[in-house]
Amino acid sequence: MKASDIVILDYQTTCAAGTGNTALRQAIAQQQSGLRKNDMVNVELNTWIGRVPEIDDVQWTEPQVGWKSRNNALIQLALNQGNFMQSIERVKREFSRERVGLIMGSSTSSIDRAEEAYGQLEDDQHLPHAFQQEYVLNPHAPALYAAHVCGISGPAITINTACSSSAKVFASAARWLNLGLVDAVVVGGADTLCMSVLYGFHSLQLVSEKPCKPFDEQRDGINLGEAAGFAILTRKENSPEHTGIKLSGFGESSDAHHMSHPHPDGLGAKKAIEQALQGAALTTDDIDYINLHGTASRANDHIEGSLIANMFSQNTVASSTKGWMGHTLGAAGIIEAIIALDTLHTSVLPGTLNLEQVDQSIGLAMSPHNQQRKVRHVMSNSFGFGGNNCCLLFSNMH
Amino acid sequence: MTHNNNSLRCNIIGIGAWGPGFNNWPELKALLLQQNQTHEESPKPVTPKPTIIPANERRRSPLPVKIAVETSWQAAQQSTLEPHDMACVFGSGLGDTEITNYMCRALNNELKQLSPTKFHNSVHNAAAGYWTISTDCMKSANSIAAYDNTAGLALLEGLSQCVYQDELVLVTLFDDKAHNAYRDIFPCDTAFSAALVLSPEQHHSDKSIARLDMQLGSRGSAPISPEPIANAHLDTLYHQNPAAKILNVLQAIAKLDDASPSAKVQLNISENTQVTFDIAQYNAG
Repeated sequence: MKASDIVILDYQTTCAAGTGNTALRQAIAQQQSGLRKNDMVNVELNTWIGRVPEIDDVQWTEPQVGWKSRNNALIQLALNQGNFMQSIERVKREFSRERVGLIMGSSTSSIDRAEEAYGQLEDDQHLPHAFQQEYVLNPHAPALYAAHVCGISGPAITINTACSSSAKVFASAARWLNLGLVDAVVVGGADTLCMSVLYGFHSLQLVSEKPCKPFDEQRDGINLGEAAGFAILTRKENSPEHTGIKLSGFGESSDAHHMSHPHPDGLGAKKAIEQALQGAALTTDDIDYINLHGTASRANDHIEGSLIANMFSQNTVASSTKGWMGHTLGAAGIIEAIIALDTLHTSVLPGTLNLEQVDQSIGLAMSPHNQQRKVRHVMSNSFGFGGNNCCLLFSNMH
Repeated sequence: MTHNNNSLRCNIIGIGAWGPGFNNWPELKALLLQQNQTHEESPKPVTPKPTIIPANERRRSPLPVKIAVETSWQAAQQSTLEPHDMACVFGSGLGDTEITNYMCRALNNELKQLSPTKFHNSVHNAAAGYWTISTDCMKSANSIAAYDNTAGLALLEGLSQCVYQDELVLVTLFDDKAHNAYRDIFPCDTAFSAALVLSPEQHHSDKSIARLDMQLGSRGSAPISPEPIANAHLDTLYHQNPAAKILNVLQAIAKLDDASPSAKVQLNISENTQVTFDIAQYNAG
């Protein structure tokens, strides 16, 4: 099949390291972490988190109050950064209503709102009136709300494959566009901090009491974070005006190993990477920068780092950016994809923040420092519970 | 591939089903072909024990996982092909409200203690995870949600993967009844699952049950009223359970015969769009 170039028209992010792309770029350039000691209401855990304080400033008034949730507040905040809403208006003008699609990725959807509702159940059985929100308390909530805010009425779907969710949105969007099902797709990801994920990862003993240190000898677990990111994709011939960046490849695979432990040899991850390279007709030598999944858990970093060290030469710079905003779960895919593709514009390759002594047993050369370097092809890895892997490749078109 | 022609085609080569009064596709098909309404009490479903899941894991797996894996296995068996050669798309409109209820209650307790197993089972892709682990499947696994439009979008996603990647795709829909406080907003009181194995058009197979063509368009253009489901229990299921919107498609497949070799069915995929399926008897020629 002759595939079109899938180009990126615009993108935006909001995470603890920055509300909006400009703030995030600055935080990366200055190596300023957004992590803080846990100060979430109702969460008494000794850990560090990537909280977005502006979420608390989002006001819910009639008639929007029925959409209220922390996750939806974050979606609203992220969509309103930069000129993203103008870009949405542009694709709505340029294409017919039913041919603009929406694909969101999320892990928690709006479970934060359910947690709150259960604290106020009537007769211990019933949702109080203000919480009877069928469009918020279901797993599709992020796409339903984003479609509502953006005024998108074409096909809308939510991908919930845990921490690979909002990486896979790019793969589905590329298929929809190449098959001619739609002319433009808004892809996104959103996950907010809530008791379920903080106490859930705590129950798996995966949460660190200190700022996370991906790939460090002393790493001892993850920091959870919240984030939302969005991008608009179309076929190149549809739009002469774009960012000059294309989605050049994607790979999706399963570990077939365990619900919460990665495959010991990273076999699933390897398959996803190989598939992405093959689709892009690139080799490992072509890849200038890799944004690793790099959660700072003992197992993940060891398996992923060893795999990358085996597959790629030292000319490829690899780093984990989770020291800036923590592990943002279902939003990590798109946030880190955007951090990777933004290097095609900024030529600033982020280092691995918080790294002091790289784990020698991994065999991957890494640095805490940023590097200034012109790049052409970049990669982003995302791996999730259930052994769900996705690898994305972005390339400069010039 | 032209960009204007947005019709996608595949063959359906395996079907699995589980719900009230049926444990597999032949039993569901018989109910769908019933002429007369039944007014008996709703049959009690028998919880399946999908033996493909290793016993240890099966004990810990929640009902939505069990029914999804059971119907997936049935569909794969009927196709006579290896499940590890199939990519998969799992779709559930409501997710696992029993686990969500458990977590929300536990987190509103003073101790806030969560079972690690329940936590990892709480991910929406638990069924996809258990399925790929149980069948050694290293292909792409997707898990999607689209509330009431889940059936249409899971098929759209499965079909686009089948055509674009030129590979076998398992599409499994499943929704449990709504639990506890969730009953206030989701009037779903019966669990249901169905699975289809989709095969690319070019892969000729004598196992094909039907040919499926999908076209995307504006909602309300050339509307086709859904054919009523004669069996009252199935009709209730169709209206209440997001996964069971697939019954519309399954009924059309069940009714294919030499006298009426094709049918059209529509499913909504958003506020403004729908997919139209042309379902036809498979003709190997």
